[in-house]
Amino acid sequence: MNDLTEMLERSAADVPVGPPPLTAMHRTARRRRSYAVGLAAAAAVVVAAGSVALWPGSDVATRDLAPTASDSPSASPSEQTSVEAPPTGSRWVGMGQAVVAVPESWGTNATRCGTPTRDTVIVDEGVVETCAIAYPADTTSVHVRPRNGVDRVDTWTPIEIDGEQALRSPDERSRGFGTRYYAASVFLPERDVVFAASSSVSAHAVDDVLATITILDTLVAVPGFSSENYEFDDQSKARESYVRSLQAAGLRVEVVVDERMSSGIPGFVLSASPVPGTVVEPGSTVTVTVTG
Amino acid sequence: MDADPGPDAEFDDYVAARWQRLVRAAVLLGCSTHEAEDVVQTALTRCLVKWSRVRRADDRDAYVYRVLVNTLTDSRRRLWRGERPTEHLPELATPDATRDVIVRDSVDRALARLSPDQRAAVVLRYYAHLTETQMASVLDVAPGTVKSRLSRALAALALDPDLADHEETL
Repeated sequence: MNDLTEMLERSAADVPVGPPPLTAMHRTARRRRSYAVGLAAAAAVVVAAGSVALWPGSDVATRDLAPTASDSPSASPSEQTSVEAPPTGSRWVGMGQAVVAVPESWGTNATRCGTPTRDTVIVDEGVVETCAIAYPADTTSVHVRPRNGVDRVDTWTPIEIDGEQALRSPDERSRGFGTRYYAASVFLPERDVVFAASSSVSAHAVDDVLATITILDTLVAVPGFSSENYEFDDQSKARESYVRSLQAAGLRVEVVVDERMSSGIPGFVLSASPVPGTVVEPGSTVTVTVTG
Repeated sequence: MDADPGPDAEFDDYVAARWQRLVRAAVLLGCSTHEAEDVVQTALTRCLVKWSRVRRADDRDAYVYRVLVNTLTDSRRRLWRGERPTEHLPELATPDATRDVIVRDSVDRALARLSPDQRAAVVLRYYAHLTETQMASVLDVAPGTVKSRLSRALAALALDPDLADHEETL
């Protein structure tokens, strides 16, 4: 249909086109990006409570980045729409900048023996009790984790998520101690993140969860610490290693030493707040509680 | 090895190469000349904010056209929402003086008779020169749908009296 191409070319050729407004585009884009960062700074209000020790390496935490009220970005509706946000009624949970949107009502690590007890996202689960319980009825869950030896990714189908190569497992139907459930996973090889969704509701419920996977541009998930606690022969290195991974993610760190837990190994990471997997603005402060 | 020119320089190069064609594609998609530049500016700004994502995309043109088509759809939806019934029209529509070129006018009228979906299919295929696979991704439809939209649009254009006249003037 060369005629049509020629006709369209001739028709459009006399459309007067001015020069591209590059400066205006850069200015608007910068404003939108800095709005996101502004929100991050506004969120980074450091509250000192109890025996708070600023980790020596996190010198950025000693700078007062908290803006005054007048510095807060004006939240005009048009600007708000440019900030990354999960779909209404849901929250993002993930590893790094690979996240999945789960309904607000879902639990986080609501599991027993590694099996969900209700709708939940599972991330940085830590030690799993050795026992087995049935997958409950009417429940959907998604586990966000690095790839493990059971993932047969060589048999998975290439897909694309936000312009990034990904692999999707075949749909699976299984019985978990009597309950029929459906499962499928998506693997992001560049990030070593697997989203493993399961549901006793329907195969659609699994698809719906996996359809919400996205790669964030500016926001970032709080890294997990459970692997740090068991990665080293000397467990006291966990604190140091976890702080480094938080800083590498662009987050500020406050370390709280829980004196009540000081009888064992010092530096064992007990908890992080916000909990691992929570999506926050870069520059946010994560409070890490460790044994003394 | 060449140094990475950086996302901003890369964006500028991309825009320098594509701006004119994107604006003209927007006109063929149904925008006025002025509206076309605004829509393309908005679409490219959205791309710039997410440039890291555009860079990751295998096919930048398909990505940018997708943002353009979505921006156009959004702006049309907003216009429609803003419409209020009124007894007296606030102003009279004045014909666009640049639109009196015969060829363009006949193509305009012919495209305007297509459904928005068919129009987008024709412009993306025969002006933006996207493949059917790219179009499926841009329009977020199955490749089969792209084919059927195109064939219906071509059938309609073949019968269009304005284009028949135009063929005679060629």
